[in-house]
Amino acid sequence: MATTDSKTTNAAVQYLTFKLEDEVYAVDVAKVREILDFPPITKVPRTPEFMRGVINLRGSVVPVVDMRLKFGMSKTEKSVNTCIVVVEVQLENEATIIGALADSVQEVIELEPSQIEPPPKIGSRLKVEFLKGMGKIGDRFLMILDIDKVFSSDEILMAQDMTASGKQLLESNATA
Amino acid sequence: MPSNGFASTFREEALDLLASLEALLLDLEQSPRDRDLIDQVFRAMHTLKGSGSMFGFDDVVAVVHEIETVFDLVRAGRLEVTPDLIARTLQARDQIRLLVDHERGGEAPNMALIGQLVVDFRTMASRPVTPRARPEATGPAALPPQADGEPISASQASAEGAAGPSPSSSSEPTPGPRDGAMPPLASQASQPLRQEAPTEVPPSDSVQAPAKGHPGIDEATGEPPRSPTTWSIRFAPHPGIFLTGNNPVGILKELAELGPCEVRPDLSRLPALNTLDPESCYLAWDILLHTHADLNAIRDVFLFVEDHAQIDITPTEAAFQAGASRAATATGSAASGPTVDPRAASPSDPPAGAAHARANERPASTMSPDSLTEAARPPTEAVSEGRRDLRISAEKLDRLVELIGELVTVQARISQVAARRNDAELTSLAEELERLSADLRDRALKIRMLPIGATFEALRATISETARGQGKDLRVVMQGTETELDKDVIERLGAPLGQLVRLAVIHSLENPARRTAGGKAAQAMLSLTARHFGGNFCIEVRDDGQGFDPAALRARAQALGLPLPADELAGQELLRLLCQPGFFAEGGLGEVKAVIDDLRGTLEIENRPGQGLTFLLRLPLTLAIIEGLVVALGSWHFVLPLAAVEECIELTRETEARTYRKNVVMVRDQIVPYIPLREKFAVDGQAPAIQQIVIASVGQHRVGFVVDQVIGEFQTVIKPLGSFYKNVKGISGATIMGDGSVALIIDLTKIVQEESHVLDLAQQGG
Repeated sequence: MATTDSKTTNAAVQYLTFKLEDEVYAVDVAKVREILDFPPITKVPRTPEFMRGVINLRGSVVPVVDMRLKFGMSKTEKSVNTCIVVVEVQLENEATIIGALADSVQEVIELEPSQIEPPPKIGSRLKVEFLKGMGKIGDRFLMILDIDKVFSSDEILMAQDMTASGKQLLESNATA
Repeated sequence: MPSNGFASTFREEALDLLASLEALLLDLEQSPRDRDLIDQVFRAMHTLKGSGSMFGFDDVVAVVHEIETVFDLVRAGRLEVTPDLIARTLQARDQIRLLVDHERGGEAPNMALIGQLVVDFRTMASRPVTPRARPEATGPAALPPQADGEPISASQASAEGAAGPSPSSSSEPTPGPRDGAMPPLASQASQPLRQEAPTEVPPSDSVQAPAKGHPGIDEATGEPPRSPTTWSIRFAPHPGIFLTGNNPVGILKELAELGPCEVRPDLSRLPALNTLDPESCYLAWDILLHTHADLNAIRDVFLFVEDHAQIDITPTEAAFQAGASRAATATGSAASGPTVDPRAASPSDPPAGAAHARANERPASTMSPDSLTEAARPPTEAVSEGRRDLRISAEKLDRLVELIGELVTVQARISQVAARRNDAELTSLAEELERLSADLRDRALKIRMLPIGATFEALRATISETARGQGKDLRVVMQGTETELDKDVIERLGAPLGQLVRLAVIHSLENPARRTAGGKAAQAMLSLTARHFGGNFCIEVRDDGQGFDPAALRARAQALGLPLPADELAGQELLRLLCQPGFFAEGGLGEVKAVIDDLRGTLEIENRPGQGLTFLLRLPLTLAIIEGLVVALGSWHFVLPLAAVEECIELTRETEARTYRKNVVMVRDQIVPYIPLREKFAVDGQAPAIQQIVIASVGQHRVGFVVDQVIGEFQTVIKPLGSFYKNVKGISGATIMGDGSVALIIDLTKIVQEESHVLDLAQQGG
């Protein structure tokens, strides 16, 4: 278990790597609570598609986010490897548990600070602020996510907009 | 030293006391000659002072002391209860509350005002009237004449007679000189008390605690003699008492200061050495206390352990084995007899002092028959005998309710499995489990329920203060004060209710002159009514004033540049207007509405210009659990709050077609608009041929909600959706279903608000 703080510059940090489509992403192990199989998800009406819904995690209701949709890929389809990485993030200064849907979970690796490069300014599908840096292992690159930023409050605002557009949808449905 | 723990205990108790004090004072204002009320106020002050000084709340003690002195004189009939005294005491009470509370981040007390109040109370205390009222004291007629300046004891005695079990002495003529009382007792005690079996027991096996409160000393301190009483006290601390930082030996010592006492440990709970937990207390004590102190004084000794011990205090006729004559034999037997030191079971005790008791393992052997039965009774029985209240931290209770919620969920799943398996044995077990968990849940929720009375009482002060400021005269009528409501809800209701009564007093009630001119009784009436109604808790704030003048409201709205509704100002329209920020100088209804919405309640208003104003609050009984109606929409399950549901009817394709785009149905000659949830929630797929309309009452409307299928009733624990989904409208929470999946709870009120055009449509159609 990683007890190291990712902010201390010299120590190596452990990361959990997972795949979305063919790309490998990494997240600080200290942020990860557990990994679940793909459980039945209850969609919450009138929310953006990337907010897949909520699951029952031992009696608590936990939201699940489709990371592929969030990063502009196609919707995650269920396979034997699909799983939910349960992370604890700071959402508006409040620790919140969120499940992140991933195609597969790979491994836990340790990266020295020297193995991490700053994120590229261009050429990434992701918003630069979602990335903490690029990890390099041999000739492979992996994208290290700043998970707190990924689930920032802007995203919640999006959900609110969606509620408004849901109403329009309803009206267009009604005319159809 | 966990002094913080003590301090917070003190704060809790002090705040409780202060809350009850307020009610007492307001009652006293109504009936200023009620001795019982005066005594209660005095006792509250006394307790505050005592515990305050124990925990170093010196500023509190300083104020309370002055008030206590004044009420002491009132008790003695040397001061009158005047409206001025009540007002000042109420003021002081508010400041004391701030003193106690401000360290926890409350409002800062007004030190200048406190200083002034202290001076005022001192002035009052310095000019008492002559004690003409002494004969009023209903205490023992045989009280010896008192020296001047000692009016306390008369009323103390009468208070004692009125409160609690009457001490045997108060009904008996008291022999003259106090000193005479001891020798007869001592001689009585010297006669061996015969019990059936234990004749072989040494004549004495207990050490006489040195009696600091011996009558002789009383004389020395100038305390007027009163007839001493013998009390039989059972003090059985809970095993965990040491963890609370309390030390039973300290208590016993303190008791010994009240008078000669005989302490016997009850070792029956003491386990074998190998199972003994040195941090638990296994001992109980039976105490015979011979004292001049009254029941309250004895209770005060146990003040801080009453939640951690079983304490029974009863006056007894038992012979008191007093006197130094016994001490010698006692020491002798202590050396020879099979003795056990109470410290054996409590190594964490400091060295026991004067009052620590040594005793033989047959504790009852020399006790009176009364105390024998007392000691022989199993402890559990003794506990149930006296109704006792426990103070439980809300957090523990919340966790308990949470766990029970989860238990109920698991039980529901087991019931489903049992139904599927068709196994008679499993089914009967599942039924048993269902019954038990339902009972458990109801009881746990009951613990959280508190009567609304205290909240109402607290409003009295707001009302009379506001009325006084406005020069208005009114009486307050309270009904249904015993109606119970979840504590979380009650805690949050105080402020909104205060705002409602304030608005009513300021805006609706007229002053006496105007009322008389208008043909009304000079004294206005404000009623607060609480009741349970249809799964809801309702509070009605009603007055017989003039209500809001529509013209004045319009003028105010215009001045603020608010859009004005075209037609009559009533109902939700009116409420919306009143909720506008800045509408009232005293703060608007907006905050009230926000709190009530937050509690999943509703606020309604009825304005009867010229006749009065009514606010109606409807609140759910509990926030943790709702009775839900489970419905299906496509592959989704949703829960509707059952309390709102009135009936379910079918919606066929034909009906739908006939009322095309109007979305209304006739239900027993009434037009009911409906909202198709399928469209609302953009559910995939086709609706079934026959859908169901769940008719619910939302606010003042009856509205139908169209669903695919009604599945059934389900009791659900509400789980918050969390901040990630906090902006989702129309969903108030989630719940875990029997199969472990999550279902969402629909917020009917919000949906109806969004769809208000449907309602308008229905009204036009009708």
